[in-house]
Amino acid sequence: MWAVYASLLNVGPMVIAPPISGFVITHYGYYANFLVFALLAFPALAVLPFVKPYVKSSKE
Amino acid sequence: MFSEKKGNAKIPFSYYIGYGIFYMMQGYSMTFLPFFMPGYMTRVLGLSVVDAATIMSIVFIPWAIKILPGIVSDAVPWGRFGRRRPYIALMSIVAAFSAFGLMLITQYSTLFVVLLFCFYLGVAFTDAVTDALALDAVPRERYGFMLGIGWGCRAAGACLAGIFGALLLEVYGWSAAFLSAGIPCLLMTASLAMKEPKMTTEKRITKALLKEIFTSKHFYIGLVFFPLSWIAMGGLMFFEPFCIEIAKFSETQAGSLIALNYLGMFIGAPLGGRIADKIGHKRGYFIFTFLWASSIASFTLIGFGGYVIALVILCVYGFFDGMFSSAQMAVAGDLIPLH
Repeated sequence: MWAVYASLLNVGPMVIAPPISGFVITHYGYYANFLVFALLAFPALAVLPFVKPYVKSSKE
Repeated sequence: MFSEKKGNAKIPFSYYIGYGIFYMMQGYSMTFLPFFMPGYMTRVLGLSVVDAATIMSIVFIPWAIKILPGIVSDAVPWGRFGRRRPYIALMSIVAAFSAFGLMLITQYSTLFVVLLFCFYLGVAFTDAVTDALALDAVPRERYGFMLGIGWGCRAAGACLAGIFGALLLEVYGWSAAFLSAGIPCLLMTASLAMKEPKMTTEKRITKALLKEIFTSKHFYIGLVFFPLSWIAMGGLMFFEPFCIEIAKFSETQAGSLIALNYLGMFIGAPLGGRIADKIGHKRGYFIFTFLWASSIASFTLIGFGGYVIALVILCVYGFFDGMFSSAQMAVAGDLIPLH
């Protein structure tokens, strides 16, 4: 099961990000690329409350 | 043999050392190629940024389908050799020989893409299976620390790649650099120091367990959450061309920047793992996201501040990236039922 989540983790930076990066750099430059990707750190927080441990830890 | 006792479970230090060496070697290879390869494709092979990005997307596919080797490793053991260790040995060799093969490529061809793909296939396979082996071998309450060690050692290897790789490139050229990316793949077999625990009935993959997992709403939430959570890291894919073409740094300066980035990560990762274990993995993830995103945005100052500012920014970014990644991996570890 670890591999399932490890795969999903890598989909973002390795498969989805390169075309976005290529597009933004070509059209808007490297600085816009950094700002766009800084913003892309946040959408995952909207899903975080729904992520529950499979076995609930005492600290969560 | 030294060992750490946690409750009733003893964790031999050789596990930490083997896992650490694995990640250090993987860190070297996995930093060297992704960091310098976009520059190699655009400046040496003459490809456009968009073409280089497309090729990177293709060759990174094995990282996105680690679910397949993961399932194969979970379900298809190699008899008495186990279900993890034989795959680690075999795929380390595939990655190494693919990197060696890149030494023979002098101009763009399909073979270049195939070899690069096979390199990432080998590294992705061993990465997934080694993490699975580590999670088999250590108790759940040590996940954060164990993964923090892995992440930190990966950073140390990446740090070496930044300095040593850039020097190799400048002095001996690309063939020597590809050779140096392949040798660490052979050394990734250090993770075989971890022994596979005896398979108990409740740890075996069954149809019922697969059904339980794939019909669970938590799985589908993970399906959305995980691709989103790390996407920001992809913003640095073209950092090397940025350093050379925009900031006008030398190859060695660019390598030193990436080395310092990983030095920061080396310190931040175990610390982030510890903090996340203490305050709760999700809470740690939430806090570290803000710090990590701010450090990515600060990259816009590099072109105006010069090399010294760039050194500080990369070090701070690496530190927060390490903290964030440890918390994120710990959240992923929490979602695993038994395997």
